[in-house]
Amino acid sequence: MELIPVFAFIVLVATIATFIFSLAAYILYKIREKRGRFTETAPHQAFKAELVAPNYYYLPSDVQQVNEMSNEANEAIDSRDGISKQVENDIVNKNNGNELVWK
Amino acid sequence: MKNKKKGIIFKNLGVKHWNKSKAPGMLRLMMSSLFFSGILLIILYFTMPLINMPIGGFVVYSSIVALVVFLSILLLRYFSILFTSFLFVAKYSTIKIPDFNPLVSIIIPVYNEGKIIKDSVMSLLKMNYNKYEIIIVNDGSTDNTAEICEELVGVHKGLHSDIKVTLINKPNGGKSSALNTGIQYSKADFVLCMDGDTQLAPNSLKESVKYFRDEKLGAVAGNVKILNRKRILTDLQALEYIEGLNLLRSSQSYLGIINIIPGPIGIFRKAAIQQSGWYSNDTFAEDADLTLKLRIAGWKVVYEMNAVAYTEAPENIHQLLKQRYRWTRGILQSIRKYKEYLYNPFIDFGNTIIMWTMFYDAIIWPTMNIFANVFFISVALIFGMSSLIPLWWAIIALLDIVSALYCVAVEKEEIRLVPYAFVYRLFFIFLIDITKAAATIEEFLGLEMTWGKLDRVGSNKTN
Repeated sequence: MELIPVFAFIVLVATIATFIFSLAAYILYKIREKRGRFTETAPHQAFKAELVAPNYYYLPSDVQQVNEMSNEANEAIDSRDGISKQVENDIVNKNNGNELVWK
Repeated sequence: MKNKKKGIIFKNLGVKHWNKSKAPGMLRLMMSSLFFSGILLIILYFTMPLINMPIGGFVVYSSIVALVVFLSILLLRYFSILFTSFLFVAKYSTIKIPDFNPLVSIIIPVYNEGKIIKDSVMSLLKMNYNKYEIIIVNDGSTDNTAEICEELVGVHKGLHSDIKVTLINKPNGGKSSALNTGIQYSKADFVLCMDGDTQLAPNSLKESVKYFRDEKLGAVAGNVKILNRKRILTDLQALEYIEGLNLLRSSQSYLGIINIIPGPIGIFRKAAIQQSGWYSNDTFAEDADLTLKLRIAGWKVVYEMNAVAYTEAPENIHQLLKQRYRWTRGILQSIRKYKEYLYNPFIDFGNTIIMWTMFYDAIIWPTMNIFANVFFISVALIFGMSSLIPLWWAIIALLDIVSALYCVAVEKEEIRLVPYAFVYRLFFIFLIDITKAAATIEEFLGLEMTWGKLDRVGSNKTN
């Protein structure tokens, strides 16, 4: 089978396509340069959020609190370790082997 | 039970802003393009005189050879995937992995998903697992999502235990930021990241968490299926998900080269996410990006076909093309981020294979598919061989029908999806591939894009 003509044709198509893409890329590049669209944005180091949770909170050590926790909430939980222990206790303490109580 | 509100501050993790000064990169691209064009011209100069046949015969002859090459690649790819997928299913069916029961946090990032978030949370309360909590992260929604989510906060009765649902309302920062916030807040060693429009099958957690007994395992990729069916376009996507995506993923899992943990369901070891650098916001495919980061950090990823997530698919062509455009550009951005693995197999050969499979699926295969369809059909029409066009369509359709039957059998899917295989490749996939090609060109040209948001319709698995 004569493959040279096949390759030649593929090369011809590829060449024309590449040239068209090159030209189009250059034109678009010039358009973008003129518009000056690319500007750096400053990253934010942290952000404030609102937590809505049922009756007690747990806050991992790398999450800062903004507001003072209520005494009630403080009693419930005040650190990641505390909640770890509480959650583990809650989950491991099963009722009748199946039921888990989260309280 | 009364809910309590409180202000907290989160670290902006995994944030890497684009270096948008792309001028040097574009110049390099243009210079290399011109250089290769020059080489092609030289080859052309020496080979063209050797052609000694009329132009018509030459084009027909070329197209026949190209057709043979294309079909060979198509069949090779098809049978490789089918065979390795079968090996995966055989191994999956025979190996029993003991249960594992750690605490898991389910993170749901939501943005204007008030219509469907309740259904998603309700599906999570039916999970056949007893140690999990739900953390909804509202990423600055502008509709009533915050109010709806607030109503969901509390301790709910689950299938085996009481399930705590917490809400974090944060300023809009994108899906990656929302996921990072939820993961940061979680205290569990394992997190399940999903989409706000997704509903999980009851066994999803139980079936996937057990793999984490292997301490080198970083993540489990789940099986995504289409929730809103019974329309031609969504049924075609349902077929695409099982035949195109899940079949490929099971094959990749067998070979240990999974390259995308799907956004609707990915279960992660939290330490692996922390070590890999969290979700990044510098690509539009944060799931592909994180998967590559996990692989580069040396973590294993497996696929669990029974960890099923039902997700809402676009119901019109415009939304579908917008989604695929974003996927393609996101994947290309991820490939570009770790391109050294593409070029240099000596860093990590496994990762080079992963990068090339991504590159092949994102660029090479769609281009070949478009070229084959347009070129062969044009040649057949112009040179009086139009009778071959139905034959061409029949060959492709036959392959897809067999493949669809196999996938439907493996996944216990709806048999009514199989007839869609008649139009799957030549029409549906052709349309998707054209979108991929357009997205590829725009990505290489560095055109700006935005996330875009799918319009939610609020389907429910239980309906």
